[in-house]
Amino acid sequence: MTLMNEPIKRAEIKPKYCRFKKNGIKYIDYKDPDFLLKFINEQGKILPRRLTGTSLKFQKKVAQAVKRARHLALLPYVGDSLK
Amino acid sequence: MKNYETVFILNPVLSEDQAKDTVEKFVNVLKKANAEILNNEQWGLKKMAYPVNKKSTGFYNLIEFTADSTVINTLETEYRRDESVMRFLTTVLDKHAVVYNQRRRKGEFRNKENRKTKKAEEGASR
Repeated sequence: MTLMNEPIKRAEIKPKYCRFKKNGIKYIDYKDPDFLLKFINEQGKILPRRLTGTSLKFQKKVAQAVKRARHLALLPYVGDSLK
Repeated sequence: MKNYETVFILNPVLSEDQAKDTVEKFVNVLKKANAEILNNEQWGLKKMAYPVNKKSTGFYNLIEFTADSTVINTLETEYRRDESVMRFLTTVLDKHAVVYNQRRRKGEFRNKENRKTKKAEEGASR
């Protein structure tokens, strides 16, 4: 009885989606640090696809934009409590 | 001919006029090389996310232009020669970026409310 696994309620798990595909955003601007803040964690690290749900195509673009923003000191390379 | 955009950060020690002159200098470099300037923006003295050359602020400037690829080399050499340039980044714009920048120039992304209504409209039309 105790060894039985709990059934997973599939309906409750929200499927992830790529926000760029959904909203038709085609270009990610590296000059907009407030927007890029959604894709980095508190330390300033780029969040993985498995957390944000971004598609591979746009994850590459996000990563490129974040790196450009870092170079221009719009985002920090290392941060502490960014959010 | 390709579309480019370049951002550079000037030393905050410069006075407003000196900064303006320096920007003017780079614009002239581009013009001399037959580049067409589409946009020239000064973001003013901005706080940087981390100190660069022991300075915590800098004058940010953005220039959008169309030019031959050979121009980039001359421009970046000028950047490196000028000591008041702390950082620079030149990027090629793809077709989506060109559209985005046109909208940006018109000020469509200027404030957050604008963006929110825009998104709502897009969502409704879908």
